[in-house]
Amino acid sequence: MPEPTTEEYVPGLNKWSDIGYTTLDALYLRPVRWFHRNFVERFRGPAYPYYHRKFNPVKTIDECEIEDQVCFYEAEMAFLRDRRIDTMIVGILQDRLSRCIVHEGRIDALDKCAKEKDDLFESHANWYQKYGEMGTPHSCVDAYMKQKHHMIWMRRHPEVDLKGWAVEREYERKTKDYIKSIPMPMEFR
Amino acid sequence: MVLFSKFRPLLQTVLKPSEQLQTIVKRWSSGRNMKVMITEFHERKFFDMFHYYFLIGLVPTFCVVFYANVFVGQATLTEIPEGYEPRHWEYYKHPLRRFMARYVVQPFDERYEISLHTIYARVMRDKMKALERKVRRLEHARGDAKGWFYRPVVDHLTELEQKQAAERSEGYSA
Repeated sequence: MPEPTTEEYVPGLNKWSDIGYTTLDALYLRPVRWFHRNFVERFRGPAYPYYHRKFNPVKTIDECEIEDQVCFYEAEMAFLRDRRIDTMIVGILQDRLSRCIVHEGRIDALDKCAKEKDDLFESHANWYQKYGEMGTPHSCVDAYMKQKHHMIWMRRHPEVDLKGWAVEREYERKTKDYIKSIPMPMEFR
Repeated sequence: MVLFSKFRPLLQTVLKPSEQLQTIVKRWSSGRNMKVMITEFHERKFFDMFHYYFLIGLVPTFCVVFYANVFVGQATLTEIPEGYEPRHWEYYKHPLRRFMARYVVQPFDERYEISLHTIYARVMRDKMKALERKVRRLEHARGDAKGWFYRPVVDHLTELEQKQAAERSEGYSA
């Protein structure tokens, strides 16, 4: 997976973190590593592969012939697969933002996690544009019609800010101004 | 499980039957008393059920899972080689999951293909029925053919008579 792994633990910053880490280390990590080195690596069988499933490209709903039920089914399955993938992508971006916030701290995250925040905001907007507010249940035909109406509406109203970046930037500015307005000593901010 | 045998002495100390009850049951002479004890039935039943259901199930399951995780190990992700079609269980990582995919569960693609086939067969059947309905409708409306109104019934007796008449007209051989 392309997700970042955690860095190694750095002892010496906090006494209680060190005590907790040494406890968990002695109770769980050391026995498991000992067992892995002495038994598992010695007696494990040969390595064998597994593959990532590939789906053949099929016709989308707009390319299907009239009354071709088989084509409709394949297009619908492809649509559902793509929707699941897009949902996972949005989840991964949300996970990245929350990891960034935990890493930097709640206040520094306003400055340093701007990229992750913008990516998540963009992905949320795109997901909603593609799959949102169609009613339950909906089919690939409903999604296709939504896309068509959306494109017509965009052509008729070209100057409208659909994703709401102005509102987002305004909210960020207000948050930062509020935090700056709180009187605090410099070494905490 | 190891300390189950220590429960009963603790129970006896906590819920000791009273002295009066013990003296009432003193029937035989020379200080022979029947000791009134708390029933062991529930304990024995619980231990029996525990041993039967969990240990006979848990121990083999644990051994199988231990073997699969320690000695067999999980698969490594590799690119599909050129010109090779992986079998349907080779798309899974854990050895037990591969086992289930290979021997127990219906393959992932098979369900898809079966759905496609059923849709196709349904469509063909509907088309054939629609065609028959259309033909019947047109013939009833136009009335210019005798296709659907005369049912071809095979009359075996008549055919037999005709054959025998032909043989009679040819003449019998001596």
